[in-house]
Amino acid sequence: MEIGNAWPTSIGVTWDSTYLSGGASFYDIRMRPGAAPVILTVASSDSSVIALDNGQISFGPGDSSKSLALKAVGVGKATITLGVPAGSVDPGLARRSGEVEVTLRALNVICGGTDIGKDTQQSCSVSLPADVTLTATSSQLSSLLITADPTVKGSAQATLKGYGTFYLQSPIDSGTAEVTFSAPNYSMRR
Amino acid sequence: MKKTFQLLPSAFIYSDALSEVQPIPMQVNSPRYVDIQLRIIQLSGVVGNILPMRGGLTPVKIDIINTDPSALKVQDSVTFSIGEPSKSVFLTPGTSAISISRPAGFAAPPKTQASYSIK
Repeated sequence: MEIGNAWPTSIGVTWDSTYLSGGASFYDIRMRPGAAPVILTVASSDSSVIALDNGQISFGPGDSSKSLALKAVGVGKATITLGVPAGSVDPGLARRSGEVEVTLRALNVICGGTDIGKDTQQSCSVSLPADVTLTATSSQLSSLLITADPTVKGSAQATLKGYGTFYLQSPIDSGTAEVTFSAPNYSMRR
Repeated sequence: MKKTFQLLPSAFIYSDALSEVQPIPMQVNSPRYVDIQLRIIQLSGVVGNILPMRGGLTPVKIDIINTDPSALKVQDSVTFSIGEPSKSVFLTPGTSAISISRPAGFAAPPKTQASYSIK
């Protein structure tokens, strides 16, 4: 999973039968009508990496599988483990747990080009989830200005929320300048 | 994420001045549209991409110089405003040469003048 997801990721939890030999069946097993709901506990080994909106899943009559919402909140690895409800056989830790690795998402900024003429402006577009704030910072205010509004003179730094376009303006006609694009929980790698 | 940008001169280009064919043939009763473009000038001198004028600038007036107004009719000037990368001018046939002025702060284009012959 990648941190910065604006939506939870789901994994399936399947209600299944187990052979006496220990192997799981592959039939579509559903809870019978009239059966009392079964509450399954869910735990994350590291809530700073994977957070759970709900620490339990309820299976009712007719249910054969449920989705579990995982929220990637930090970089690292966490193990998600399901409990064994009363009256059910423990399928073994390997069958009811799984490790999830959370990494940073790569930031993708698309620019019209890498050349900027004096007193012209080059555009760089981004598209991120609506709640993510992206910042563009000029390495040198005297040579490169940044704005999110193409009609005004830029400054050393500009921000956008979600998606949009940065305009990079050059008041000079020689040299190079660097722009750093950053967003919380996004990778700084090129 | 870091991106590096090359900062270069820019110039207003009379697009017909870049034509290899000079004079450019025109026909009587066939007017012609020509672009004046704000373009990057590469370090090699080659004319680069068209880019819009940056925000915060006051409008830039470009005079159009016509060697023979009695033969070829064209407007006196165009004005570039923020965000504009190009403007069109309208030529009415005659035999003449056209060039444009260079505003202060902008580079000289490699070719400045286009000539026309009417057939």
